[in-house]
Amino acid sequence: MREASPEISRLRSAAAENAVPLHAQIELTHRCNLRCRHCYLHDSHDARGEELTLSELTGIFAQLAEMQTLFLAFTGGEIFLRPDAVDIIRAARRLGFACVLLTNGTLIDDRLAGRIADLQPLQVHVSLLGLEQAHDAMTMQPGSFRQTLAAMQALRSRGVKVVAKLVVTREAIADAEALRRLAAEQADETVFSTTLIPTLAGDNVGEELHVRPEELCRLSFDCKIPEFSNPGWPPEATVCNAGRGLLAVSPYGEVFPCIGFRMQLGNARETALEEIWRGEKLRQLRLLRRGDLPDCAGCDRQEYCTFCPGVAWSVAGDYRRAVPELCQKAERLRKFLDLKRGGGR
Amino acid sequence: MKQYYARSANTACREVLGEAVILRLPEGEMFVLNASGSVLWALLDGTRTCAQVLADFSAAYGLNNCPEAENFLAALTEAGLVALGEAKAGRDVAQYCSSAPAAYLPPEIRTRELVETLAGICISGYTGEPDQMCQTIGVGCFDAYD
Repeated sequence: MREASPEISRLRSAAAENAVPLHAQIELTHRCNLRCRHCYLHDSHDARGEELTLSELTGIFAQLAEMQTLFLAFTGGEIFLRPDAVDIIRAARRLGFACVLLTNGTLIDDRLAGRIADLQPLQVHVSLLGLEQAHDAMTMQPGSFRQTLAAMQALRSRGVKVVAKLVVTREAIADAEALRRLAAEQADETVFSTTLIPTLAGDNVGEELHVRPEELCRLSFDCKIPEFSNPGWPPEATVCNAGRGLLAVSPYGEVFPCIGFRMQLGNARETALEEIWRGEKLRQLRLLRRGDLPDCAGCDRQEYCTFCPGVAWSVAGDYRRAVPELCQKAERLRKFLDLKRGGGR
Repeated sequence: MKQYYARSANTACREVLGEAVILRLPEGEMFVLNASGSVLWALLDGTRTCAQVLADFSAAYGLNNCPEAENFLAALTEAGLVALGEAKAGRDVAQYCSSAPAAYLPPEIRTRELVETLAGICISGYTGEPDQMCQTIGVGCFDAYD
């Protein structure tokens, strides 16, 4: 089982406890050259207004440096649709940030790979959505799988650490094991992701794409993904890092606790980030503990619970409320895992 | 020609809660300096020679000299975190070191470890860790037991 290193665990806990935004997520654009069916932006790829300029972003980076942010994750849309993406990342590097880049890889040719390597990102995360046929069906762009693999190779050959993010949907679940083997060869690290968050409009991304809990568990066993090991949530446990050690900025300057938790806190174009970060909404969020979730008191499925306040916000309009789909998932996980653990495989 | 000390270009660094946290890239090896080490690190902005770094560091703590600092500087250089080069314009101490010097202790690298997985940094998904049950696609999100 992989474990976060002790020092980084200590650091992130200390940051969260002291409300230091050690991590920030910067959405550079919502525009994308692909139309991935699972994406939370799939109905929001058109630019809604003027994206933050390089100058505005540099100002935001300077504020984040003052706020002790070390890790910046650049995400989209597809970040390399912005012609100034490299300049933006360079500006962040000059201010001492450790940069993680999230990309679909399709726009990265040898030249761009070289420019990215020169930026010395901490990691580049590249999404794989299945083997070739399934991947291209998900992105709705034939050839995208091969482009993505080529980008991974181009980056790694230049010493860039590549993380393969394997987004497993029900349609690609048959590929999971083969995909894991492929990623082990083609990337420095592999991560499985099986939860699809709602779109910006609050709609669940195609229900037919969600992996069933039983499939999730089978995946865990067959693909050696560490199985659930959550011992349950003590009432005093915090809910997540959003708004405690993490904040997010949209392409339009909107500030959220996390890109998956789109409770708008303010706009960086109008208000200093520090003021937003110290505002009442986040103060309230930081006080939230597991025991405060009104629908969860006495729940016996907490060992299997994947509650996310961002999903609750999108679906229920209140980050404290339970999400029926997640409750059902927890129940099915419990039944399935209990069966497995009882030798009923 | 005079040689000036500067943080290497292949580092990411920030003073977090009074300690300099440095990542050497692209390996992702993380170094955390103690408070005195963090003060010295802040002086390595490319505007000082070795003698000036040591003099300013000693002055910050009211010391006549500080042989430990010289050894520490050598350790940082050995670790690839510091490089010698031509002088740079403009000092940037404030950006990296906002806190006043703490009581003097010999500067040292408090911890040094390879961040093998960024599970604790910037991914979600199944890592198997109790604090990694958060399943959104967030980067930097994690659930924590406090």
